[in-house]
Amino acid sequence: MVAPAAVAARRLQRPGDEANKAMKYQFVFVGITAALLGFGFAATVQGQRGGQQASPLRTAIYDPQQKIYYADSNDRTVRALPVRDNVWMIVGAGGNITVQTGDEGVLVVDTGSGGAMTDKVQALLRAISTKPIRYVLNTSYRPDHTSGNEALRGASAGGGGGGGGRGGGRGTPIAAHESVLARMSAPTGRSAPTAVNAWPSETYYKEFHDIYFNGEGIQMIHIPDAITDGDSLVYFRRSDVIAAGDIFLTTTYPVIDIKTGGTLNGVIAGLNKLLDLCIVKEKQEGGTMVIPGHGRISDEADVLEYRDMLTIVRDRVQDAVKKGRTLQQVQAAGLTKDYDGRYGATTGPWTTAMFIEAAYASLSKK
Amino acid sequence: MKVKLAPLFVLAILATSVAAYAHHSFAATYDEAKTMEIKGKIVVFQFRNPHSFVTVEVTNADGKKVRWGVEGPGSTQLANSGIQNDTLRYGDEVVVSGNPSRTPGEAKLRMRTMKRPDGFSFGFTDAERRATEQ
Repeated sequence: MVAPAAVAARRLQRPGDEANKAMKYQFVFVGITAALLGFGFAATVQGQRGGQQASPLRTAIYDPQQKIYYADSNDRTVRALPVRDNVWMIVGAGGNITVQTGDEGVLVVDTGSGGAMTDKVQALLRAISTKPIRYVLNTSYRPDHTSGNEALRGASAGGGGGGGGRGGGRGTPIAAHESVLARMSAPTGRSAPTAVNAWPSETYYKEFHDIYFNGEGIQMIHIPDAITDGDSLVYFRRSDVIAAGDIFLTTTYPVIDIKTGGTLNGVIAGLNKLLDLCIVKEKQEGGTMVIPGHGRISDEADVLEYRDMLTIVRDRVQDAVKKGRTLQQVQAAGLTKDYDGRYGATTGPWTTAMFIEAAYASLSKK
Repeated sequence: MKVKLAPLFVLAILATSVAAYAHHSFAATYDEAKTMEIKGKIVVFQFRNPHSFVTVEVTNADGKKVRWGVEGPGSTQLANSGIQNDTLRYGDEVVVSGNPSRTPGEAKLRMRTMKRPDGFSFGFTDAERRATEQ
């Protein structure tokens, strides 16, 4: 009894056809080469994503109803949500992480708070795409956006082309405004606040920085003196998605970092820039999607509301400053009362009193 | 036989290909007959092949800040000289000497030597320079 497949194979053979034989060897050779190259590529992916992990890799869980990946079946706070096309948002691991995937690999905007979250973020990234991380962009130096830099950058050298590449010999390139590098590093001989491998390797100091990746133009747009002196919006031009960093939040008042050059007027200018880029689909809804530094996926209407709120609060605080009120008087005056239910807090890392203090200091500057 | 060797030939070509990004002749871009010196703060260090780049922010006499693009050897050659990707850092004060651009007024320099106040120095002898140009 001969198996049908073997019969079919025999029928395809042409006795005395040497060219066919040569072709067969050729296919075998190419097949082996492809397998070897494939193995090498798979090893690279493994090295970049999970090379430092001794324990089995965490696997994300997919909810097909909601189209959401969860990093953990017990704790569903760290999850990846689809935003549009090949753009995802990872929430719950510090600041929001934007992920763009495609044939060239994975690009992430911000890396979260690192530490215990890194494992979960990596599980989600593996679930979204089997490709390696080729680019990291930072919207700010702040730890809730950059603490995962070192882990996501990976250990392999030469993330870009040619020797040290754009990663400067430290793995995947990290792009950010120059001030981000200044805040994270220190000149020779001085102690730096973060590890060398977490530092950006590709910095810009003008208004824009352009990247073309996965068939899409991506613009980093510097917003001066906003939350810090080195904030960037990241605009995915084909997907029509903007990662706004902490310039736009849906959870709290802006976390203005006065010590690193942040100002309230800078945040409002950044929101106005964001509004310039947004295009609504219909009746002030949909269209350009905005990923905030913290909070939920938004559109232009959400940004507009936040900008209006901040402008009103700015005018109130500015008026009080002009009238010579002290900080304590301004804090006691309840100038944000009508917005506190949505954005305010009396406890936690960023209270309403802290926001008023930052706004007061920012608007008191001569 | 010809058919069997074809894939090997293609593979050999692929294996011997090298990146040629930004690779050019120094002499065509920089005036090697002239030498000048700048003093300023490092704001960018691109440790890469085939040439590395350092951007130095120089404050002119009138207080205006100008960024000089300083081009030097590739990361492999720098590594062989003991320079790693974190040897030069943002904010380091340096004095760089080198050949100016052939384009008048262009703030570009081909690095010959570099010094830092902490004692770090980098420079080529003529023999080393010739070796890097090959």
